[in-house]
Amino acid sequence: MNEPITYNTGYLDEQTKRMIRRALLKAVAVPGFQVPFASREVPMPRGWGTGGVQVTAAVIGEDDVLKVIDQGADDTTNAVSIRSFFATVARVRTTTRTDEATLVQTRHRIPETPLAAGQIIVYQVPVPEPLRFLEPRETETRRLHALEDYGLMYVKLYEDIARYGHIAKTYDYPVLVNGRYLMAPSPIPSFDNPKMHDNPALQLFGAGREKRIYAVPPHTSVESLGFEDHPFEPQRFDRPCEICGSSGVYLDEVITDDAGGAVFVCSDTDHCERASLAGAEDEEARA
Amino acid sequence: MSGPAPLLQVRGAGHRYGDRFGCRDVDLDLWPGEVLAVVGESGSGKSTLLGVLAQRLDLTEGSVRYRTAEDEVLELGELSESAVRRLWRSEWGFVHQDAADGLRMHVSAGGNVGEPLMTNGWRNYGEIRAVASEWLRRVEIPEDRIDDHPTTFSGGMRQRLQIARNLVVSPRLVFMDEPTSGLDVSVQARLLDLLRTLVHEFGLAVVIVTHDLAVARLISHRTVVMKGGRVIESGLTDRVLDDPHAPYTQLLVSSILQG
Repeated sequence: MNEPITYNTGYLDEQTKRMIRRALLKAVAVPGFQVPFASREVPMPRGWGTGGVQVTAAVIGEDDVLKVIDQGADDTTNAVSIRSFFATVARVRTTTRTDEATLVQTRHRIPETPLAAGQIIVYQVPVPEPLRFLEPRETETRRLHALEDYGLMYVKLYEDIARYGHIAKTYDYPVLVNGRYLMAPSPIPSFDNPKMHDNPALQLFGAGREKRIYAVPPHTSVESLGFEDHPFEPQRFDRPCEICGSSGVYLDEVITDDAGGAVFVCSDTDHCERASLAGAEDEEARA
Repeated sequence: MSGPAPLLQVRGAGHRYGDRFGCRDVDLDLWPGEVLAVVGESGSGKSTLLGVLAQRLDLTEGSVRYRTAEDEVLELGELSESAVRRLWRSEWGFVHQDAADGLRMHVSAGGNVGEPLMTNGWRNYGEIRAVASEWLRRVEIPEDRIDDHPTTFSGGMRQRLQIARNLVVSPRLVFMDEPTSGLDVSVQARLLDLLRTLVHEFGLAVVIVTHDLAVARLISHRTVVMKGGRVIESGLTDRVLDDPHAPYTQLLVSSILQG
C-alpha cells in the first residue's frame, strides 16, 4: 500500500524557508521596506493569504502555538483551514486565544488583546505598495521610496479633505515606519493602526501574489499620516458589543432579519467569548 | 568682472542619441532674473538642449554648472539623482508643452498646486489650501474652481495651472518647453502677459524653448538661435531679431507672417 504523505515541517522545503528567512531578516533590519522574495505556490489560491502562509511557514516550529484569524474571527473558513493546514504540516498546537499563541496569522485585524513581547503577528497583504493606486509604475514608486519623496501620499489625503471634509480612508491607512518608510499596514481598519506603534511583538507582512515581505520590529514607531490641522483619527464606535458588552473594541455589523434589523458585535471572536464569560462569572459572583 | 555670477554656465554641452548628436558645442550663460529664449525649427536640437540643462537627458560631453541659492556651484552632470530631485523640489520648475504631462489630471487644482508644498514638508491643510488658492488667483483661475479636476479646464487654464504648480515653491530657475503652442492666439497673448508679470515679480530666470519668434520677442531678454544641433547665433533678443547676422536667422526672421 502507499505510504501516507509526509510533509517537511511547515510544508515548504528548507531552501525556500531559508530564502524567506533571509528576506525576513532584511525586512526587520530595514523597518517598513518592501523586500522582494521568490513567492512559491502553496495549496491555496493567491489572494487568500499565500504571503502570510509562506511567512508563517518560514518562522513556525513544532513548539509554536498558532492562532489564525480572518476579519478578527477564528471560525471563518479561511482561518479554520489555514489553522488545520499548519496543524497537519507543522504538527503545531493551535489555539483561538490570543494570549496563548506564540504566532498569530491575521487578515484584516489586530487582536483586541494586546500582543506581548515574544509573540509574532503575520499579516496577509494584498497590495504591499501604499502608493500603488496613486502611481502605477513600480519603477517610479521604488524611486519615490528611495528618495523619501512622499508628497504624493499627502496629495491623496488632501483630496479626501477637500472632497469629504475629513480623511476618508478607513482601512489600509498609510503609516510612516521608524520615521523613514511609507508602509501599507495591510487592510486592517484604521481603528487598529495605533496598536502597531511601539508594539512589543514582531510584526511581519507577507504579500504572496506581489512577492514582497516587510516588517515592523518590536517597539518601532509607526505613525499614521495626517495634517497638523486634520490629524489622523482612528474609527470610533459609540456603542458597546451587543453580545459581550465590551466598549472600545472594533465592531462588525451583523444583519439579523429582512426588515433592516442589525446588531453590532465584536469582530474579535476570542475577545468576545472571553469578555462574555468574564461577564457571566461576575454576575454569578454577585448572585 | 563685477556684478552677479551666472546662475547657469554651459560650456561645450552636447547630448548624443545613439551615434548622432542631438545638440553639440553649446556655450551659454544665464544670469539670475534673465529670460533666455531658445529658437529654431523642429529638429534643431532646442528641446534636446533644454533636456540636457534640466537634467532630463544626460550630458554626453561638456559641462553645465548651476549656482544654488546657497551660492554653491554644482556640476550637474555629476550630481546624484537625489540631489537633482532636491533641486527640482526647491529651486527648479519645468513647464511642459502639454499641460497633461506636468499636471496630475485626476487630482483637483488645489491638490496639483499643493503637491510641491507637501513634497517640501508642508503638513498643514489650511495653509496649503490658502497658498493654493492665492496662486490660482495669481494665474487668473477662479478660486471656486479649486476642487475641480484639470480635465474640466480649458487648455489655457491648464497651462496657467501648470505654471502655478511650478511657481508655488518660489523656484529660481524655470524651464519652459513651448508653453504657448497649442493655444489659440488670444489665450497665448494672455498667457505671455501673465508669464511676463510673474517673471518680473519673482525675478525668475527662465529658459524658454519656442519656435515662435513673437514669443521670444515678447518675453525674452536674450535669444539663442539653433540649427542642426548647434547654436548659430546668440545675443540680445532685439538685436538678433532686428539685425540677424547668420543667414539662417535672416531667413527665420523674414519668414514670419506679417499680419
